[in-house]
Amino acid sequence: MSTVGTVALYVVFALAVYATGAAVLAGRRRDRRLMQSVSNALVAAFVAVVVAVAALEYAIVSHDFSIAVVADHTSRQLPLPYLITSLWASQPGSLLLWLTVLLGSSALVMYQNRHRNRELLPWVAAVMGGTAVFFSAMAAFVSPPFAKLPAAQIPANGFGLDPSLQNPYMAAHPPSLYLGYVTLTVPFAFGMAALITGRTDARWLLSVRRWTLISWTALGVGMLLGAHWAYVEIGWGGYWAWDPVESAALMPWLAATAFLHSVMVQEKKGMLKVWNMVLVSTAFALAIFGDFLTRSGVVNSVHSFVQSAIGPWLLGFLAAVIAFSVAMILWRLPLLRADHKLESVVSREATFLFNNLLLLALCFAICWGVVFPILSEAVRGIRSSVSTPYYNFFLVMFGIPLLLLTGIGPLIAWRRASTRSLARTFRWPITSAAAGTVLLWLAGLGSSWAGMTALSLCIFVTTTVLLEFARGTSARMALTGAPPPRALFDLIGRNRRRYGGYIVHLAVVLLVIGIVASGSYASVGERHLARGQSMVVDGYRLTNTGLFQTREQNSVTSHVRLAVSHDGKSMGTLDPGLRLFTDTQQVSNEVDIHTSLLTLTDLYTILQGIDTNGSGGVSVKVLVNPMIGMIWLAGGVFLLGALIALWPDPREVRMLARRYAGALAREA
Amino acid sequence: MSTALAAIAAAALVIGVVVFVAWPFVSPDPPPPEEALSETDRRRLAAAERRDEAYMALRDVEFDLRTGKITDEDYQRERARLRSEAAAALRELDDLKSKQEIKED
Amino acid sequence: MTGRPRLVIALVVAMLLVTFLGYQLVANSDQLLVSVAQLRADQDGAAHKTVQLTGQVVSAPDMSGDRKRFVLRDDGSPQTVAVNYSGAVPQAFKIGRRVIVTGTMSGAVFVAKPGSLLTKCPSKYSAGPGQ
Repeated sequence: MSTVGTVALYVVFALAVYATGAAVLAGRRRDRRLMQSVSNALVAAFVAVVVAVAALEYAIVSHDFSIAVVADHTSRQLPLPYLITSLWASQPGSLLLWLTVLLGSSALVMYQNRHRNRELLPWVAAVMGGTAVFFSAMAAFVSPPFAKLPAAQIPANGFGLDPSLQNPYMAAHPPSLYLGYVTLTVPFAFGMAALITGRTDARWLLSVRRWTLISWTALGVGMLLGAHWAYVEIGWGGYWAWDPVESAALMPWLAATAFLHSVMVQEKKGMLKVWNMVLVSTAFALAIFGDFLTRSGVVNSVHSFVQSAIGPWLLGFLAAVIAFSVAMILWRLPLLRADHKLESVVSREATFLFNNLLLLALCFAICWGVVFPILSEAVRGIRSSVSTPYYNFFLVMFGIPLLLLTGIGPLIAWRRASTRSLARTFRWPITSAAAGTVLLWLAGLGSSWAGMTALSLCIFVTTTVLLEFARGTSARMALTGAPPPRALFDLIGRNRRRYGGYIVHLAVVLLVIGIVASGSYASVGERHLARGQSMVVDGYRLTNTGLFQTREQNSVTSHVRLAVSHDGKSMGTLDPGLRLFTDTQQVSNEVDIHTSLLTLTDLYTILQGIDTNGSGGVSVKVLVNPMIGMIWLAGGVFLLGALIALWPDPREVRMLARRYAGALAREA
Repeated sequence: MSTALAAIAAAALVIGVVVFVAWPFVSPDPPPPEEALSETDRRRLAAAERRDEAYMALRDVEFDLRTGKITDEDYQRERARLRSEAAAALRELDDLKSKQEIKED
Repeated sequence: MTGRPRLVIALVVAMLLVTFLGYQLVANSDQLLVSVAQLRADQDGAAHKTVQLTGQVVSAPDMSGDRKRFVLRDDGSPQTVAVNYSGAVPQAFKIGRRVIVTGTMSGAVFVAKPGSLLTKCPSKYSAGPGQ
């Protein structure tokens, strides 16, 4: 079976090389037959990589331990669902996942554009094909998934999957992230195609808007899945450690956020054309950089892997991507002149531009934090790294103005807003934010100025979004006489991008509330509790009522039973434990969490140590994380908003059909 | 999996792929040859885009008025400006269309 | 772009740069990341500062009590250092794992900050971290 897989990967490589070369030829000669063959080649490559995936899955499920990745990451005891998802637990396996998503996207792009975008498509295929050449070469030659162990080293049973990874969140996290990373290739390919053909009009933007939104959503959800897993499984009470590999996903997400906004400026005003080309290249480059950080072992990260052969190759590919995009942009600079000028800083265009600047500044600060250890080692011979205080500083400095702009943007008019209209539109948001600030202060939240500011701005943003919905609905009601629910439904239906975007802004508010409340207003208690002893944290009383043990297939867990009460009312028990895996002698934290359904606040308990003298005393750490569940709720709201924004708009379809009518139909 | 079966599967894959990729060359009806977008076509597209930008902006500005983001005077000014932009784009489209018709005659 | 908007944008960019550079100059937030050998050799004054120490766990007799002790070995040489630790032990901690722990050298022992223990992944690709 592994032979079939290996052959399939060689086939993928050959097809990618053919597709790239033939696409360039088809683009220059405008040969439609050749282009059809290129399209077929990319589809065939997708089929071939699926064959390779099937071959590897077969090897995993049938416990073929002669294959290195199967032996290293699976075992006979591993349950079937985790056997299947262990495909991406290994370096070569995850590379295969990347390649599958890449070729799947390429095939889908070819299919979507089978009757349009004739001028751009060959070059889109060439860029995507070129990327596929690189990754398939890595999979086929540098880091092959079907590499075999020497006969003498084939074990009877594999090493198994790390227990902390046997968790549904961890199973879903890499596919979501990879969907996000890899689909950034599509906007990049279209952007380069636009530059190559000189078709720097808005056509390429329209094609990539949805792909960018999908990528952005997948990256965001992927990060939240990873964060939630860290929170419940790793058990230190937090969800984000500013680990370089976490930042590796955050950076392209920030660039994609900037791009989603600046795209609107180009569509409506024909401005920021150069900027959009730079952004789309930056987002793709950051995705490759993220892959490099994760695989190369060059940064000291809990996620990263020791020096892998693929690192230098990825760096080379990254350099090629940057060089290529810079060259293309510089070549076509004359064609990227704006249709309109920025006339006032008090306008939506300017708001979007400032939003872009802040997002990229934050991205750059994070990038510096990630790269700094590498640079310091190169210069001083010893590694120096930055940690949470550095990142939090910039998150606050750049994030708070961003939050303010999130509220301003929807309410400000395009081109130029007059002072009178500004005063009118911002009256309610500013008043409610001010009132809210006073209430927050009275509630005792003044201990953190950053927290208070952020929460006040959350009130500001929420008010602006609700006002937008309210005003839009009443305008619609005045126009059509429909009742409020119908008017609201129509309003959203006729302006899907705008209102989907507003829902996403609400998700951002939820996310900020969750981060700020749990970050700035958390309580911690760390105590030794003898049997029968209690501790109080933020109004919760926890009592050590004794130890007990539970036994699983390959582990024994020692729990402490903590009786919990709040304001005298009993809330049941929480049983954090320490798990000892009998086969590997590994000890792991099994935290126990109580989530309040009303405020989404968590009471989080960690068992840190058990007294060895048998007295039943324990050492526990208890955290109260206010409203931390808002963060996970935000993920769901992100998805909802993104889905609404993604939904096709029939009016826009008609407008585009009219624009590309007649002789230009093939460019539609 | 036996080596013979594996070899057959691998061969089937390779053959299938080659046939699929070569199919457009051997199929009986070749598609009509591509033509590049002429300079006139490109200018028509650019003008059509500017027309659509103006129309979209008109819709936006009307929405802004109805939701109270701009005053009435702002609205009248913007509307006049955008309508003249749209008119300019439409004029250019007409010009290019008549030029093309003259060429085609 | 006419004069005034361009000026405002330039000012905003300048402010962002100033924020960034200002922080770098003023805040002392970076921390050395040293190996056991570098700590032993007091490279860059590592033995007198709070540093992040990385090494491989070679012995960890008791990790479930309140005061934990384990021994880290250097990657490139046979040098070792004993670590005193208290607090949560992360997932994936075991003999042979590479870990990172923050603390200061005190006499012959590295005294770790409670709860600062991080485990690195094994040398093969594994998407699982530990903290």
